[in-house]
Amino acid sequence: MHLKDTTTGDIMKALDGLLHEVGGGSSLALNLVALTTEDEREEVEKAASVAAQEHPYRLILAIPRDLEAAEPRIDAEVTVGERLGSAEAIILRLDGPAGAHLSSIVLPMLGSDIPVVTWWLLDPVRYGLEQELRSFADRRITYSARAADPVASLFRRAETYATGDTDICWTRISLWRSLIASAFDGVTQAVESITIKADDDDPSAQLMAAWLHTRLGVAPDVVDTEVERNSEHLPAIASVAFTMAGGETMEVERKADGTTVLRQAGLPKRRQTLQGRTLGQLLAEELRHIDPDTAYKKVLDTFQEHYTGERVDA
Amino acid sequence: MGVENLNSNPLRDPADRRLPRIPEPCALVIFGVTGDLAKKKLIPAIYDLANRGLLPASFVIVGFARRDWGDETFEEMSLQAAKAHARTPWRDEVWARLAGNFKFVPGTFDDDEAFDRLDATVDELRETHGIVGNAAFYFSIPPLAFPTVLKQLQRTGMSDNRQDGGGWRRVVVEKPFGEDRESAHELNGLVDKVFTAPDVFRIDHYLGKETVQNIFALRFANAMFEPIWNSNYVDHVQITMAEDVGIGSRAGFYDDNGAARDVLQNHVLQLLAIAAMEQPNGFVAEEIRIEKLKVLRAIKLHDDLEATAIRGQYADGWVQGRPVQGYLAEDNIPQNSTTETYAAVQIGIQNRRWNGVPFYLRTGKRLPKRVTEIAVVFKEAPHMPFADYDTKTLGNNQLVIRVQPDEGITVKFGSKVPGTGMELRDISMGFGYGETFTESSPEAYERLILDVLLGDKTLFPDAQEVDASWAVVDPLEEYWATTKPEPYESGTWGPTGADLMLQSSGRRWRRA
Repeated sequence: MHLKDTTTGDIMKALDGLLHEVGGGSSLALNLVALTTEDEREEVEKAASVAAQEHPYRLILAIPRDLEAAEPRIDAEVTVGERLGSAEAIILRLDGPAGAHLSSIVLPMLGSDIPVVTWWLLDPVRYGLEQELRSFADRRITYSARAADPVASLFRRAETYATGDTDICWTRISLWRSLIASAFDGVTQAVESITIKADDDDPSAQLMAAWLHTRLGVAPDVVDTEVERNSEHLPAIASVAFTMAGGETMEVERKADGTTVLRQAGLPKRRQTLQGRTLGQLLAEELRHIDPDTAYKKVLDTFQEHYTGERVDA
Repeated sequence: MGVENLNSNPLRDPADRRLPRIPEPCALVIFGVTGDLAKKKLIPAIYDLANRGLLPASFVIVGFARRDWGDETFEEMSLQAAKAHARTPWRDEVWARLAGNFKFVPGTFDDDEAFDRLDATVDELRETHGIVGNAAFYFSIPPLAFPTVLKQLQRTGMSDNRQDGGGWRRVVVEKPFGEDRESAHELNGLVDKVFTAPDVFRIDHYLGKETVQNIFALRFANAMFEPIWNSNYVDHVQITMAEDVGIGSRAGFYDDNGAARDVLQNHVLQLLAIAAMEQPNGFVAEEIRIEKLKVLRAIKLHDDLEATAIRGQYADGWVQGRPVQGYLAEDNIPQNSTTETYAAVQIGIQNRRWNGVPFYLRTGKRLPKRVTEIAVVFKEAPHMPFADYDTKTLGNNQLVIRVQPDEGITVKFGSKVPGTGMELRDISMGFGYGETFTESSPEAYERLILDVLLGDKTLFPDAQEVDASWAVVDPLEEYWATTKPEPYESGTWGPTGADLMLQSSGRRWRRA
């Protein structure tokens, strides 16, 4: 249902009407507030509909449109169970000053007393909306790989960290980390040195290094390597190699097609497949954990402590 | 044990909940791998686990069966089985990771040479796959064959986890665990002796279901349910496990056992134990086991078994719009069979919480639909300021845990009908666990196989629970031995005796 030049009251009436038509009373698990652009809308909607299969939520998609306009204006589209899967969705297009007052628009639309997750792919600083989005969220999901300077953007996230922050660059190394962690099951020797071959512009590679540093107490060497990726949402990591105190080595290497080989001294080569996940799958993993991710915080602290790159001011 | 090893891994942080628990490199040896269970549940569950990234880098599936197969034939059969029955979407690259890790050992259970080959196959994995002796043996075989296979595992030393190379050895057994208390005791003794008691995993796949695990959350993580979960507020509890199918191709097994041994002794009593147990001190295997065992041992049958232990046998009828034949007309069932396909029993639990609260358990085949649920029926409100004629259609409040197929919770309570009068009527409010979560809700077997490989026994009943359950069923079987089951028309809710059992105290079965 499309509503032109409307108000939050009318939008909610429209949503109630639609819910009533489909039998009403869905059980919501959370509110997802996403900030995006018209260009990225389709991508965000697709991801949201995938994640909605796992997490019943109310999606509020805010798209700043004509920010130069003198008069505030809200156009809205309200859907239940259509192209956005099982989510209840409100898509807002905001003109003029309306864009800068996002919380006054979003707050009345939130489902009562269930967690609020905000998610943005674009750089909120550009729209002056960062504080607005932070103010009412229990959890905030960013994707620093999408910023103009990804690693500097991750550093900014670390500096301004608030409980509940998380980044898709962290989510997308979960499978990699899990593979490395299982290779360490049964390993009793201490680690002497670590070499990561990765694109050092990739925030995920930085987080991988910081994670290993945090857990193993050894600062990894990141060797800048061009990494061919067959999916956008893969970390740009080619291999992680360990040398143990006894001189033995262990290496996890991912080839461009996804074949991942684990070489461990004294054991036969083991092959696995490691593919990139879709944005929707990554979002679904993110939404599974609504409580603050303390493991991520520790890793982010290590990253911040050892960051030597440029500092971008807000 | 696996869990301790995982803790010593510096990369594993309990606060890091994104890292899934992945078992150590290991082999899963399946006996009876050509059977239905392996094809429809076990192999698809392994594919699903691989798809979710929950299997270790080194993982080998070893099949043992009486077939003249090589590794390739076994792998091909597994591929077809996984493709046909996997829950998660098919991805060739996931299979590629499992491919090449299938081994097949042909042989019969009394063939010493075959078991020697199996032993050698498992040992070789040390060299070829870096699997340092870890192996789980899955008994997907008729219970009669258990002792033979166990003895073979003992003879070859495969069951011993203290062998030179180290690594764990676990065994997974499916129901039935014996056919009465005595035979269960013998079987448990044998399997616990060949392996060690902590290495024995008895699968009751109901415990792997998300909704059953959610009963723990519902009861012990909330403030509003537990205070009324007792005889002060609860009038009675109904546990139903209904199937719409007949006995299928299980004639031989079924006719020897019947509904009470097949379902009541395990699934239904486990559901009862979880619904009725006291709060465990912690959500760990040992604490849960202690509380479940206490409830099972507190079960008391009614003195008047004639009125409270009802058996039925399905007759001709219509199920789901199709005509079906009665039990006695099924293939390989003797004409004079007195085996029950339906059982309904009233029991009491002798403790302070449940004093005087009857628990009505029922299970049957060829009932109108497939449904499993636990219904807690509350007492009437102590006093109602409304006129009788206003509350005429008002029933007792109910809290229903729907275990399958439509997983969720329903609460039924009275509400005012819109209008000028004060007319009250029951309404029901539903929480659909499966509605939006189905796609990601894992199959029971996925969860349970993973737990076996991780060495987590929280969801597995142990030998004492099996014993306590038989202690409930044995007297029933003894009484029933002298009776004939009451026939009921297929496609109806069982024999009239079961209805009378509740009617005598002014209650009725909930229409599930």
